[in-house]
Amino acid sequence: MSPLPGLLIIVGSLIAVQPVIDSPSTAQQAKVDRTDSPKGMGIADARHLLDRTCFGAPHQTLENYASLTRDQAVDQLVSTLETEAQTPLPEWTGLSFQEIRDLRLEDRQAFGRTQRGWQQEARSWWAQEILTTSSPLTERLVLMWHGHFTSEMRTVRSPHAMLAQNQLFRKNGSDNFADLLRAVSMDNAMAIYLNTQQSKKGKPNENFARELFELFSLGEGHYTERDVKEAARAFTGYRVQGQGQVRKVSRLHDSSVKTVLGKRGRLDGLDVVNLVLKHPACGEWIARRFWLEFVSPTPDQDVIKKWGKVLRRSDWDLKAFLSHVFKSDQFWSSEYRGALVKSPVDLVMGSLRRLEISEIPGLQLNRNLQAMGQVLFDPPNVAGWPGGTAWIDTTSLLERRKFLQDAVPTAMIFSTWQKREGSANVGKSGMNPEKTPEMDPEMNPEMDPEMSPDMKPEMNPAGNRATRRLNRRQIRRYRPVAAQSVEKLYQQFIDGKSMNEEAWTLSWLPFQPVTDADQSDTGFGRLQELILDPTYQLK
Amino acid sequence: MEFDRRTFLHLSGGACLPWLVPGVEAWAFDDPQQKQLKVAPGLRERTLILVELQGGNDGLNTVIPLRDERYQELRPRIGLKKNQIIELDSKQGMHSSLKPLTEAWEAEEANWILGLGYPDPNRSHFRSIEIWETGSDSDEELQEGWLTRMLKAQPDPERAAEGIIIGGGDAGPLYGTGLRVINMDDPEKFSRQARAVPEVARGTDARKALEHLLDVQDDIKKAAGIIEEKIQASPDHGVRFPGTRFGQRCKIAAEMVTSGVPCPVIKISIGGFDTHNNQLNRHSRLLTELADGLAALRKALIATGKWDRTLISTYSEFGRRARENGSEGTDHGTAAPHLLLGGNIKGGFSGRQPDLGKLVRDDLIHTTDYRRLYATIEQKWFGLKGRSEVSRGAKPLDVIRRG
Repeated sequence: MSPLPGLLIIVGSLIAVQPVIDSPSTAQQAKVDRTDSPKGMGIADARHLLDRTCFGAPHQTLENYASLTRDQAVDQLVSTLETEAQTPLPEWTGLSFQEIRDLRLEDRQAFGRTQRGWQQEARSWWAQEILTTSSPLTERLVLMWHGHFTSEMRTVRSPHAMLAQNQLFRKNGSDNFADLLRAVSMDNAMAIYLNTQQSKKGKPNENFARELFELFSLGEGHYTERDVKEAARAFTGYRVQGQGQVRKVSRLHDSSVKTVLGKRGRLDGLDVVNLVLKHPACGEWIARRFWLEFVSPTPDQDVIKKWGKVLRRSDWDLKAFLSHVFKSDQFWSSEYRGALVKSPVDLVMGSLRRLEISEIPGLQLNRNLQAMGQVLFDPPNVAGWPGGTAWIDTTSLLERRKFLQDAVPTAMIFSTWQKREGSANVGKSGMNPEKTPEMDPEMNPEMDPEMSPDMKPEMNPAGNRATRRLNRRQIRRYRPVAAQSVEKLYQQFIDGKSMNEEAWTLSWLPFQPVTDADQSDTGFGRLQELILDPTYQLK
Repeated sequence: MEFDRRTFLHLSGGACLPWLVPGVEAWAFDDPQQKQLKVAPGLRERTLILVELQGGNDGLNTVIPLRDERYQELRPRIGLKKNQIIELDSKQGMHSSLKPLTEAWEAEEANWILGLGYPDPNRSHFRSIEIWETGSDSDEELQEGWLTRMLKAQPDPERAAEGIIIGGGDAGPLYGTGLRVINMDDPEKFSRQARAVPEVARGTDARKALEHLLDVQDDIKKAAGIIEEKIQASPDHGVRFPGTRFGQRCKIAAEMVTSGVPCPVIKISIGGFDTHNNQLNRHSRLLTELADGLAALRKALIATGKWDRTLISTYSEFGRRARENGSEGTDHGTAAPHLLLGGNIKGGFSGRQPDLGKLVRDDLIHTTDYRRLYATIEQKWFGLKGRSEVSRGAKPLDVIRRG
């Protein structure tokens, strides 16, 4: 993962760091959290908003948002939500159910290999969409729902079903929660993942019913074991079909009378979902998820209660709810600034988006993410990623730092090279991907291909199979150019009208750095100091 | 004012005293309970080196039944011939590529546990390794590694870390929160990375997330500090390790143990055991690499007097199908033998070879619950009472000389 060990230009200066004299002074803090002014919220607020809701943003975007008021900014974010991805889907998503089945029957082993390739491409596709979408809030919500209504590709296996579920989160994830919950309950991937697919009359499987109550909609304490058992019977007989949604097969469905959450009747799966939506705990449970996702790891029960009411009164309108959350005092409170730990996706995508790097030279985004403990489409278990401080342990923290030390500069140099030479040159002489001397032995894990497809070199997110890499000469040549462009960026702020030193810092960090991040003389160096400061890991 | 937070704490009350006593670590006074901390002597003095055979090792071609004709019937093409087997006793032999381990076998420092597995076996790499590494039943999902559950209740601030993972791979049996697990390719690189982690003075008002981050930074720096210090004073074992990837991992593991880095568990891995086709050559190569590495590790530990306090144990997600497949390989299977090595090991065999006459869909039925291995490590090797229940009531095996 460290193709350019020589690039640690700056790290040396961080070794002999002295203790910080003091935490941000009250004067500074007052500036950071100044109340919304009609002239615009300022760069620190813009960073706060976009780091939490959009995987960060390029500098120009930050400046644009800085000139808006908080309310205007939130309105703009919410009004630009999308329902479809912009990156073209991989070609194989066009295969029909029948065609896929034929492929499998033809040669099971070969199909297994093909499918693992597709799974990798599905991950790359989503990574690319997150990186380049014009509505990052959309993807932020897709990721949130993916962690809430969990399915794992390694269990579901079918990349078709997983991508269909991913589209579902995009289509319904910012629209209406009731529709979303209904759609998820009837989703193919979910039916495979939580065993609805095997559940039939006389032999109900409780897996989905239990998670529907416990994780997806109510939380523990708001339903009984009996509710689970009865609801499981309501969810019998649903079977995966074609693309997208399951269908109810009447001869497999238990149509007898059941009692769920106090209601009696010949309930089926959708009836149960509708009962869940009527339950007062549901709004609060979802409000809680938003709180944890966007505000702080410590729930504030009073606020969450209020938010739950807002959500239910709006008839589950998620756009209205998002606005409510993002405009709330809690969202902007100084108490919660930097209270959240950036997820690996936040850290990796956020850094690349901030630096406007959309194409990465064999950097293998998903391998970076995996090393930090987050594999797209594969949360660790049905409860999703635990998040928060669980993202940081001795191993993952070093991986995160390695990414910031090595990968970010590499990506910047590559990006500069590409801007100069144009992508036409990719793959031509001097770019032999097989035999480049810089090939890091770590890039070729001996891992068994059967074992861990994630460890295999993947195609780069642009969709080209060749692993692109610069050779040493190109790196030498382009490093100063890349440094120059950062320099220019940096000077622009420092000398320019709008930015001073502190604003520059707060356009990167949630609060003042805890290390001395102003030792280097160059913009490139200052940048490295900022992103290697522990506070850069927070949002 | 020249006044940092630490100075402030020094001056702010009685708590400042410990910092003034040379050689006393601040941690000892952070928590009054930790002062009386009793660490099981086994955990202090002994090391477990886990070797993961990634991909599912073919147990039946590792330890081979010599007097069972069904072996050749099940494996007409990949069954090992007499000259490819080293006889260990009248009934069993091992793959001749494991020859470098005969010295340990003859010194009675090697024990093969036969037929390890679990009921209702899962044949997915992912799921089955998860079962092995969490110590769960087949239909149960646990969120923590078995060693995490075992070690969580046994904190010892003097350790460099609870576990060191060498050469990549995930934490496996050390997965979960509450442990300090270091992942390193080589100690120098790790020290370099750790040195680049900034030293940060701690405030009292820091946000929880920041506090946690800085704690982890401290863990890293502390581990690196201890490792660096120990390695500098490392005794010369004089052993040349093989240049293979696994050999080099063994070399680093040896360095950790011989230099006395305080850490109860080291995990190394060797990949490529998923031999669906052309198994004979591949498997032979893998076992050679494995045996060469382990033999060198043994020599180094003997030379430095650490062999008696080290236990090496292999594990893998499953064994392979008893009946060979159509591509001169084997598919995912069930039970398999695993190897224990160490100066304190009773040589020989434990358990019994699964019956080749009683297969379930061409797969072996396990004869020893894999958690007996964990019970052995927990109770007999580390001398713990077994409260963590990683053994699930399974009895320890009688394979350790001095418990």
